Amino acid sequence: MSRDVVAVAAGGAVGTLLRYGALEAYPVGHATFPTTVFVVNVIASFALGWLLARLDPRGRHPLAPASRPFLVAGVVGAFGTLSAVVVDTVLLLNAHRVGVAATYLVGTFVVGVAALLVGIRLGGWHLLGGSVPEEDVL
Amino acid sequence: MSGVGVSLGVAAAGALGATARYAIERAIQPGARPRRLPVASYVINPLGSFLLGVVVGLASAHGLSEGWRAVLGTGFCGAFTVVGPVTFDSVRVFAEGAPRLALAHALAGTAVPLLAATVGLAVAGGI
Repeated sequence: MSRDVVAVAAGGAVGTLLRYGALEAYPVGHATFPTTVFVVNVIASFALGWLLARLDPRGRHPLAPASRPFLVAGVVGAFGTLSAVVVDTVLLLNAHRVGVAATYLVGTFVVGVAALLVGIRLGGWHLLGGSVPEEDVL
Repeated sequence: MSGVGVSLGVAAAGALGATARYAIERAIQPGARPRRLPVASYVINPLGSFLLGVVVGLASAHGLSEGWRAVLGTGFCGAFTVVGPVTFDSVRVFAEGAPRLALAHALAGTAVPLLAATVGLAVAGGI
């Protein structure tokens, strides 16, 4: 347990710094589509699907289970984010950019799901074959 | 705060946010595996979205510095909240043949944090 917590903390620092670095490198202006966080979340969704599939012990060359807290709850969990999406959506609505706000919120979910499915498939899971187990993705 | 100081603060706050999320997840659904829905995310995402609303509101209306906004907002709140339980579990429940439950989960997982962010921004004077 305590080793897992250290791994989550270390992965959390890495994932957060990657997201912060992306925001510093690609800043987004006020009341415009938050492209950086959108792309970050698409990458995080793809990575989550791929990692969950690759960590499945039934897979051909599964990743070590011990790497899971660092990678899933840590790096990918901290890299992707929801709070920035909803706060920016509210700010866009407040700036009367209703279309941009709706596109951002719905797009984050829909494109995120698509990226997740691609990651799952490339990682070796067959979603509709019923082989996706319940997972802790937090 | 200097640029390096802010980066270190963001990393430390991110570590704390991820750890807090992990701890809450384990406290809320310890024995309940396998479980149908990621109940812990119903607590984590609204709470983190409310807090980010407050941080952003304080930055825009009460002079909270860019450095602290990055540490508390991008660092802690950013790492604490997650999209994964909303998207992944919607897909999983859908694939299990419960499309209405999947849709309800997706809507609740988005709408409640949105409401929480609105309240956070409003109480801090950001909107």
